[in-house]
Amino acid sequence: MRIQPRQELLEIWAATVRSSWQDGKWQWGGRDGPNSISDAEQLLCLLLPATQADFGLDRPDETADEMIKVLRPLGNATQIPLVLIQVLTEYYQRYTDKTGTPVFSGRTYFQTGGAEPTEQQLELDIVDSFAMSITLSLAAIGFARVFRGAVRREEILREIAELESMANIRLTAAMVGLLRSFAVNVFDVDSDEGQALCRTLNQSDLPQRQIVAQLRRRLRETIASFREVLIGSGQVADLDSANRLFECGWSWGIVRDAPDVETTEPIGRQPAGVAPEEPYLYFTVIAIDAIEELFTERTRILGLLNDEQQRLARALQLRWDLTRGYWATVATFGDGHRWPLEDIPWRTTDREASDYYTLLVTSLAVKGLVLERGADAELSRVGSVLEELANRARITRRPFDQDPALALHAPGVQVTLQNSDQLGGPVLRWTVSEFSALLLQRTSYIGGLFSDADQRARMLDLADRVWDHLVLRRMERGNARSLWDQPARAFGQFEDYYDAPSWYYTERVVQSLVTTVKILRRPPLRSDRLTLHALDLLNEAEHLYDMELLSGTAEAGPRMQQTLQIVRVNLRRAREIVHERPGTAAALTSSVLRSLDELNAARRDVSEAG
Amino acid sequence: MLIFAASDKGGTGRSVTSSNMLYRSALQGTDVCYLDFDFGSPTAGAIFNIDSVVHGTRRGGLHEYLDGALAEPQRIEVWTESDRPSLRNRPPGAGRLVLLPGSIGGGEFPTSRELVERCARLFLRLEEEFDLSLIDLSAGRSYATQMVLAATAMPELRSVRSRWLVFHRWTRQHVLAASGLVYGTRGILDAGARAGHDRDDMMNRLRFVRTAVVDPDSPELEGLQPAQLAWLRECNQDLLELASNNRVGRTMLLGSVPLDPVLQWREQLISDNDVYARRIANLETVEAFSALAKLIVDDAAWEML
Repeated sequence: MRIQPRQELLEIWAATVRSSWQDGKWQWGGRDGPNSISDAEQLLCLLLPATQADFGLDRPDETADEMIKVLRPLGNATQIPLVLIQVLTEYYQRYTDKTGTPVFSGRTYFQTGGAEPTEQQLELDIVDSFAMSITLSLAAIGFARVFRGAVRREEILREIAELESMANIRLTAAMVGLLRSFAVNVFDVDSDEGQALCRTLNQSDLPQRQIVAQLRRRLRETIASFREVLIGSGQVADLDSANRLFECGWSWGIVRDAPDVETTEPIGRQPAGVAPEEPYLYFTVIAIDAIEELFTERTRILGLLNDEQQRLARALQLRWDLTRGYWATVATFGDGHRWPLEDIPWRTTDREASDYYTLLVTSLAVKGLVLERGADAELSRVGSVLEELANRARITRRPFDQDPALALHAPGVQVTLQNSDQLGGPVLRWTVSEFSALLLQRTSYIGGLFSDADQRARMLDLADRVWDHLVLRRMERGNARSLWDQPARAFGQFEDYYDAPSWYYTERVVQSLVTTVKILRRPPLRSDRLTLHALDLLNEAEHLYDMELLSGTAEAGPRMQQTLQIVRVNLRRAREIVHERPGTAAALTSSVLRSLDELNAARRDVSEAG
Repeated sequence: MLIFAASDKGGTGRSVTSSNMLYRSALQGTDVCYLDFDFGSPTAGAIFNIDSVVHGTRRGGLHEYLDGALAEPQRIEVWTESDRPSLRNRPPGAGRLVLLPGSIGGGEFPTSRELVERCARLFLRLEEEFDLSLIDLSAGRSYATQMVLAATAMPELRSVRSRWLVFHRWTRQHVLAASGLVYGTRGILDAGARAGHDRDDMMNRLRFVRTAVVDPDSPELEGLQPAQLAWLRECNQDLLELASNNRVGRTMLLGSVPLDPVLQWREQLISDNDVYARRIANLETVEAFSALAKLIVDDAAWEML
């Protein structure tokens, strides 16, 4: 692999600190100005590696020197965690209103067609913020928990406790927010949505009736499980009729008329929603990823969730299961010769089509495949889709002069936030330009799932090529150098150059590098072929060695004894590791065979001359 | 300010490191004095190159003073009495550098009330005269340690600031030993608490100093084989964890001094002459001593987590 995640992450750390820490103060906001999402993303650029990739800052005694060096502006090894605690506390204070209610507004990330949005619109909660808050709060709580062990001073312990309690409240509030923005859109087969879904599903020209029946059959369990959705939004009653179809996932914000979720935690008032009860692919993927973090090993081992949060997490897990199952079924529907997923670009039920949607559905489908089948053959098909996406998005191919594909990268895909105009003001839009970073993350992730070494190598090679593209898009000048995103450097067609970093984009790159770290931590894949080969070599070498001993070679002088001793040591080491690292074992055995053959060949010479 | 230098094992470089640190401190303009409380084997004379007191003095050292045999222990002005040319003559801007040697053939003695009072009086007098007084204690859990703990716990000395440095080499055994000396039963904290000190407060005033440290990433190790380097790094990582688990980690560390040939072969002060003119000592070593000399009085460096 050409990506070197450790070195890259360290460089990003240095750059994040350089551009965020000025005159002893944390400067919030990047290219789009500060808001509850961007500020969390900015912090996660430091915290994600620290909490998920073992770039430990929470144990100052053990922090690697190199990490302290790049974070030097923040202070020394013991001051760095203190500064992080203060900055995190500042974040939580900034995004809690006077009544103690956590704020999840999109603010400067909201865009419009030109008209000024109203203040009420700017304050709308958005799923992106719920998701980012879950990630950030889990990181913050985990960080505080571990760091607490190294602290003895009362006032610092108090600061940590305060941070932890604020992070806990925000975490609970974000989970409640996700429970109230879960959306199930039920429609008739004959409706526009129904027709669009059937068209997407029908890759083999079957009668519509068959498609619907087949889909309902394959989703039988999912449909049955919807009865268990008892709190928050997405409670549906009418899925049973045979000509009804549906889709599920997350809307862009709190769904209109979503009931309050009762909770014992002090999360303040639960705002009324305006978002339609329709899943958005982008927000669904974001929510699914965030919910997954609630069940990771780290969350469980560190005991990051309290009882109430565990109850909410179980409710979210049900929605996560339903959504994942639904999208995996839809994406790989049919008899298998061509999946709807492979019919690029993906068309949504509201008739929008984009390569970006295919990428999002891929993310959802893979999560389903992993748990249900997870076979290399299926993953390999998803891998091919990713390869084609990289190609179509001009990441691994050169673009035309006027290439429509470039809109994916800048300005990005525009997602219209339906109903956001109901509070007065224009319709809000959400711009998503994460395509390349997300592609890298999914590619690495899928690469890590393969058990076949060749397939994995293919995915990691794609990851490398996407990374080459991302490196080009790094900012190259000023305080923000080494951060993202400067699309004009990769594509000559763009003319806008930016000075400030996009935390939105940088955080996603960090996330994909962290995914890569997790893959590289695992032992290398073993190929059975190689193991057999190594075992055969080993058998021959051991036999030759025994013959050598039998003929009395070991009784020769010290030089010979030393040679045989080395042979013995190498054979033993090879035997030890042959199942974990067959390639290394084969190399060791080869050297043994060579030195044994030297003896043999020399003897042969005597017999031939005689 | 009083600085107590302790170590669990002999041969940690406690004396040579603390004298060098003190020497740097004097060069930085501080008035300092060095008290050889290593009663079993006084060696400070050797480090400062004062031939007449190489193994202690015959003319009334700290021993006789504490025993009550005389009213004032002998004092030696290093700038004028050292036999080493490069130490002679106080450099411009430097502070005083005074040695209070131990006595020849002294040996350890059990603590008594009079002894503690004499010791406290001495500390008070020195505190008035010097900015820094460094008391070099014997290795291990010694009578000297108990005596100074009892002396500093006396009401007269309550207002005098004191700090503890525990020296250890960067090896498994030394890390464990240093941790035992501080946190173990009858260790410094234990003994301090028994003498009437507050345990937490003691801990805030105590730091470790690593000596003869081999940095596995230093360019000087380029002669080693890759396998040796890989092993060395792994060992270092292992030690870091061990130190952290035994509360000897970075948060309790004041500084570390690299392995230096001059310190290894001859225990002496490293003068600027040795570094710049004769080039026998490494610049990094001197920098480490200077840094320690600054950190020892820098309150920010002593802030606890």
